[in-house]
Amino acid sequence: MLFSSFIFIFFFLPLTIICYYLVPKKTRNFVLLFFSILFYMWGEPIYIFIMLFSTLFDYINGIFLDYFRNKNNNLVVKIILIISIVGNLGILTFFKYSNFLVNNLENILNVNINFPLIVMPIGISFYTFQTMSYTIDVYKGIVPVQKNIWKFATYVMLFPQLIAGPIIKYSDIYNDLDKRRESFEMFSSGIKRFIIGLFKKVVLANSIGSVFVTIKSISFDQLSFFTAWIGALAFTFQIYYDFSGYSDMAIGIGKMFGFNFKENFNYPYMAKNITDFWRRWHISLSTWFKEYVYIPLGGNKKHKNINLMIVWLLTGLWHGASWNFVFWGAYFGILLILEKNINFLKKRKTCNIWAHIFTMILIIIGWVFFFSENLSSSFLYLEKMFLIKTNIVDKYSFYLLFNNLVLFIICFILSTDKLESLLKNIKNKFDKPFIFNLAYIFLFILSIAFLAGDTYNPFLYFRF
Amino acid sequence: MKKSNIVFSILFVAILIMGGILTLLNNKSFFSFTENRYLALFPNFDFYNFKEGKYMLDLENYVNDHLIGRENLIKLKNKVQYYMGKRDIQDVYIGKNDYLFEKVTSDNFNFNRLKENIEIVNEFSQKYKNTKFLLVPSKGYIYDEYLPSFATYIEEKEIFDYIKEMNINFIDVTDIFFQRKSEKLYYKTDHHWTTLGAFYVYNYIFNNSKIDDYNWVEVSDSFKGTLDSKIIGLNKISDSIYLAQNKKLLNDFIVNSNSYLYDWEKLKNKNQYDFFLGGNTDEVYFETNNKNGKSILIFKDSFANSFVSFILNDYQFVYIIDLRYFNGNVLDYIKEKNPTDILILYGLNNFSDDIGLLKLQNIK
Repeated sequence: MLFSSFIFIFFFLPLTIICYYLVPKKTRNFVLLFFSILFYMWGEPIYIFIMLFSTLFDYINGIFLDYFRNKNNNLVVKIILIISIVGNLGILTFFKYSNFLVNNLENILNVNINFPLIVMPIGISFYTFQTMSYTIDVYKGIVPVQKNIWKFATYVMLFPQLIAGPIIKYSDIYNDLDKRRESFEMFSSGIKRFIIGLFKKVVLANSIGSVFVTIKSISFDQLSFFTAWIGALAFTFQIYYDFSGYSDMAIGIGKMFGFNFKENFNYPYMAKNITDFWRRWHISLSTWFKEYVYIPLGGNKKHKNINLMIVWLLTGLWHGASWNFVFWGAYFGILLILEKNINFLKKRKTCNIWAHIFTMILIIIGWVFFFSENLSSSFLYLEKMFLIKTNIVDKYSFYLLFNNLVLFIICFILSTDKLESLLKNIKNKFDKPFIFNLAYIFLFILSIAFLAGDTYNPFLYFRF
Repeated sequence: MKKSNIVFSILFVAILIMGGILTLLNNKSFFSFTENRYLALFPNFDFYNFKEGKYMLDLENYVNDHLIGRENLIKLKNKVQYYMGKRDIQDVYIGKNDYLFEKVTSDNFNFNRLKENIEIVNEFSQKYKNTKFLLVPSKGYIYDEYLPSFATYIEEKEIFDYIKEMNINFIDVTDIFFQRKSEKLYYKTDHHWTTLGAFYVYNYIFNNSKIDDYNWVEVSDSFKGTLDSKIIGLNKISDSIYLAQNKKLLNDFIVNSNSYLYDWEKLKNKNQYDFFLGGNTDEVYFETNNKNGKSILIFKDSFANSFVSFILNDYQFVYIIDLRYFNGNVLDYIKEKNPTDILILYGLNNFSDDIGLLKLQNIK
């Protein structure tokens, strides 16, 4: 089930809210668990068992880890930790990467292996990382073991973050599981966050996304400089509004039930350098990799460049079972190494418009690797963007530009924090919550309208 | 605890609940006139469908199709997009001067099928030497100045030149259309030519009549065509449909037929173009009291529907076949009717997508 669907917005969500607030506080986690299972089963009626297994697996690992630690049996404790990590990565590798691995083997060995096509269960990249973070944090002693399997299951399957993140570490949420306090203020704030996320996804991301789809369907060698840039910018905005919009909806829904999830995006396109960008983009993922891969490998104390490269190759691979994602990760790995090692880059003055523009260009180039099918088409696309063997405009350029100019401008403005600052100022001066609330309702209706438009499906010829 | 938060929270949840309930109660319509399709039915539960996830998909389709206020919401979306500068929606160009066009560009035009179909016509006309081939150019080609600014459209001239290089008896009407551009040759809200456009083409082939030979009767002033449905909320104008009544022919000059020439009931529907010949049918014939023994067989798409009334002037027998729906044996039909003339008449865009023409292939 998607947040941006009518079945969720007008049926699942209100039903969950009503049931949740009707029952006494101690039953509320059960309500969430029940609806989370329903939510996941809606999209994966069969594969839900893998997630249930994964949950049970790390619940048991946690219990045993705690038991043997209390018996001071450090060897067994370490073995259990390894079992958990290997088990989780094993499940993830099998369902997400086996076809990729087999294809590469086939190419290297020049043979044909009859390996069945494995379909990836929804959300597996997120929930395996979450359960792993639990066992590792229990091992490190950062969090107490969770002996109540229902509470643990509620953590793993909490439907706001189950399918598309943010990746919630157990240490960030275990207090909320027991001691959260819902309030109208939090609920209301959650609604507003949800509406903003819905607007970003359904109005902005989908609209600018269709511009990208149009351009992507043109053969890359026919693109002009202008059209190639429009396409790259369109994708740059699409992926930001799509992903951050979904995170906004997750955080908003979390708030409706009293949970405070950490921010996952912080105006990433305002970054002044690449290091800054990765502190603002998909924060929960880079935090996870830093804590559970970078620092255990030695962090910036031992052979930091190698550690960086390993982390970024894995980050790229996490995004998809394909070499262009690995390349995308490596690309940022190299940029980060350069930034951390070259002195004049480190000491660059901040708040320089050229720094922002240069950083943005680097980010956009990264996205070209991300959206291209393979390396050679990425380089072909980049040639067009940098005027190599290319016309300046083609027959599509002006039509695409003028049809979408207002949309691009809105996307640009909202990718900075100018509007948020402006609204904060206005709110402080004129305390008229009624008008602001009305504006949110209007945004909501507009988003519903755009969603409805996507379901419009006319037939020219009528056949019984 | 701010009161505004309480009100806002309750109001929002109430909107969600009402949206759900009203959608469930909104079971009145099962056919959408603007979309010309049946709306999804409420699915029955079935364990197999559930296991495959199909039951959930069907439920979602049901909710999507019956959402309360759906049409108004879609109109709102279209308006917002239009005011933000978008000039094509659902593959329709929203042009200047209230003109709507099918968005046909080199990206979505089926060049392969076009070439295959031209080859089929080529082979067919080698076997049946009395065949003529007419493709009606698209509105976007003739009235390109009304396309949205900078919009691209396929180059139809290249296609016509390509056909003319073959040994097909091809009737090129583009010059007529360009000459008569200032008159209303196409509907603004539909992709079809008007009765006037059909008349000029008829007259170009047979060259035996004038506009004044006909009474031009306006049978509707409220026609909103196929292109209008796709952009609901944006189009405000209607087209007029005219019937051309031959002054010299008597009222009962059709002696025998299996169909209406004009179906007045269809003017009450959304798709008023079905007025001509009652819509698309597989096989229609007319016998007139033109006792000249001449007959014509027309293979057509919907363009010929408004053309037929003119062609009745010249033949005793008129046979009309829409190959998409015709399931008989074409070879036998031709042998049986033995027409004096054969005409293949399509709009260019339809012709490039049509698969019915395969039935003309390999006729030995």
